Amino acid sequence: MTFDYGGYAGKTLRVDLSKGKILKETQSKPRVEKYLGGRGADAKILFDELEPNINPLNSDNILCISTGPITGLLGPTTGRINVATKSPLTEIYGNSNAGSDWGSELKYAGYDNIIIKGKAPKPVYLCIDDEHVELKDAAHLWREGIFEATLALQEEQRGYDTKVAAIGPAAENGVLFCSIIFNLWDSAGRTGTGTVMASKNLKAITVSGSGELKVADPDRYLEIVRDGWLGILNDPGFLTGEHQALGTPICVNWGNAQGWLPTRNFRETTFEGADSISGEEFRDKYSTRSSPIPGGRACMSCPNRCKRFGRIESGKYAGTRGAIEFEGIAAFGSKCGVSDLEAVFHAYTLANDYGMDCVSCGNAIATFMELVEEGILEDVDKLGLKFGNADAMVEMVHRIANKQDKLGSLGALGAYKAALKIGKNAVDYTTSIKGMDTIACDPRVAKGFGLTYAISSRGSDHLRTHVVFEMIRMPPEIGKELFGSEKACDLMSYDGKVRMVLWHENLAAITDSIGSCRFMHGSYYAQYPVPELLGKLHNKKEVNSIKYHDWISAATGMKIDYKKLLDIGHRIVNIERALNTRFGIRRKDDMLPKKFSEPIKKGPRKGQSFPKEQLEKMLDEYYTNRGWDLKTGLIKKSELIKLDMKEVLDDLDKENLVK
Amino acid sequence: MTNVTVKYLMVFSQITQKRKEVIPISEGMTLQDLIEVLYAKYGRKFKKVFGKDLGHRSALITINSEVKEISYILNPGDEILISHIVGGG
Ligand code: SF4
Repeated sequence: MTFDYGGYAGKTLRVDLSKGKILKETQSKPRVEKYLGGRGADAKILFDELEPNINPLNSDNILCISTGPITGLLGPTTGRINVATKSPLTEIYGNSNAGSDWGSELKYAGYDNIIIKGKAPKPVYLCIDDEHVELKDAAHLWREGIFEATLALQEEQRGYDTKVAAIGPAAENGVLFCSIIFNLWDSAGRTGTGTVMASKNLKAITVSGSGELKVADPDRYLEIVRDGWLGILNDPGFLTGEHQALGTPICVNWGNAQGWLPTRNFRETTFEGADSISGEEFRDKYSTRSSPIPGGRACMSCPNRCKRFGRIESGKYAGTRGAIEFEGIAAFGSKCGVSDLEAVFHAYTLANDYGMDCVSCGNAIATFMELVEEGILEDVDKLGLKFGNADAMVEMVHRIANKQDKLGSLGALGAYKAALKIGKNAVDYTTSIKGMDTIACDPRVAKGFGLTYAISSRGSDHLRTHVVFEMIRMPPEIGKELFGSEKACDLMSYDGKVRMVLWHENLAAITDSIGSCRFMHGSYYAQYPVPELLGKLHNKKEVNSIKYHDWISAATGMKIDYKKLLDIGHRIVNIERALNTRFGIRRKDDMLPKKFSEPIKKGPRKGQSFPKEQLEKMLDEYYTNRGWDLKTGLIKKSELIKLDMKEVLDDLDKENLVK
Repeated sequence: MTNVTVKYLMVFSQITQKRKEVIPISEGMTLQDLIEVLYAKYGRKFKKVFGKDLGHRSALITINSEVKEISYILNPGDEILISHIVGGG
């Protein structure tokens, strides 16, 4: 079958590590028509090819890495890449997304995606240099940290022109929540995709590409991306210039002011030490000229440039340098009660070099601190594990990465599996949903985030929707128009939140499947129809916006309107659900942990909770809209037919997994 | 004379060159009066980033973690936080 859509490179690389075989296939037309690429295509590949009952660290697991149709093109943010597999942390659908320009390079080399199976007999790396693709010996790099491995591989290949995706020693040690790190700084952090890569003896994937990409309708394409650029450049949020100045660490002080900053393992939601670990503190003290990239860095074709870098010049952690993000600061900082930014920055950099997900690592440490304080876990290794102890926090990062001693080995399981092993009522102190621990926003305050955590296909996660709408004081008219309630944009209101989550979830699925960045529909709302609605409200004559439907159509030549776009998003959410039903996910798993149904004990949000009955009511509405059975959470046959997913229905029907 | 504490986040901390300061208030002084004091003290740039033209993204002021009307009468010991509205992470 020929493949003639624009935007795509047109080929899939299949790698069987056990046999050392590499195949180049023509891209699947039916798959991209229904699922576009990236997250959507990866979920479909896993649905079609993965044996659901395998151990995720068995060689039969599949690791998918995919770009989307706009990755590598000119346009407002085109550098994101998707990774998917069966997660060793959660044992369900695992997936993560990273920035940089690695994905673009893969497409310039001629490939949209890579499907990796099997296990190499000894450590190797996959070297892609345009049409030359081979497995090379990586014995000399095994045990090396991300920084050394990446720089060494660039030296071996084409220098900076070679882009590197690597795993670190923690993944090789079998820590369950390891990342794949792209080009030193961008991490596909969550759900342990790096651990799966390590279990396959695959240290890295290097890519050098010199080809070109074609779009279906170049004139129309330029018009569309110009509209999108202007949409971002005129977005009120972008105009504040705050993200470019502070990056995501902007959320530390901001979250604290809004009263949703998880503190001491979610015991509280405001942190007295927030300012000392804030983005402002980092900017003022550590973003010096000697930091690795003093001006900050952007992923491919992004005007936002949200990556901030710094360096510690003196003291105990002198020489620490790198990028920093909000989630890592909260994980090692407020969640552990640590207000020493140098210790937090150091822990963050260590975790990245070991190749671990900062969120799960920090959450495991914070959970242990609380369990020790509650007398449920013994501090057997005598580390002084208690909230606020920065030294113990940093030491635990080393110990977890190396699975050293009892607490290090326990921590390497992640908070949830460790709590199961500890027994007693330890699980009640975790914030895990479907096995994954919660990011840095307390859902008792941000209600749309709460519903998102409960329904997210990869376990507790905000990025499946990124409903920042409820945080940025959008006019009530917008809430009414888009989600049927003037209160929808109020942080602590439940009204309109289900519709808000559904809309964001459909669009987030598209964003992740085409290779664009979530910032552009959360944080900034340069995305159709938000600028149009705001323009109407403020009597603005000229309005620009990012129109995914036109953008994809001009790039690929497919005919996609706004309605069809949302349907594709809905289909992607459903293919992920289909996959998860095979992993045993049902309604009982779409839940919030006990911690979040209990009221916040102090601070400005004292008394706020997310009651179970409230969540159940929202789930009924959500399921009805998704076409899922209210009792079991299985997808209804009629919905799969409506979504043109007959082949998925046939498979699930045979397994008795539809209603 | 009594005082309030004003905390500056984001770009406000760059313009003022500080992250917080204590400001004396007189009896009956409103939030609007305080903003005028800050406009006078920090000038055009400060006023600009307050950003009326940013619509829903103009400066957000909370007092003791609550959003208050501009006519709010300040109390000694109030903590006033000035920031932009952002999202992300
Ligand atoms: S907003 Fe940040 S994460 Fe997103 S593409 Fe731009 S630089 Fe990358």
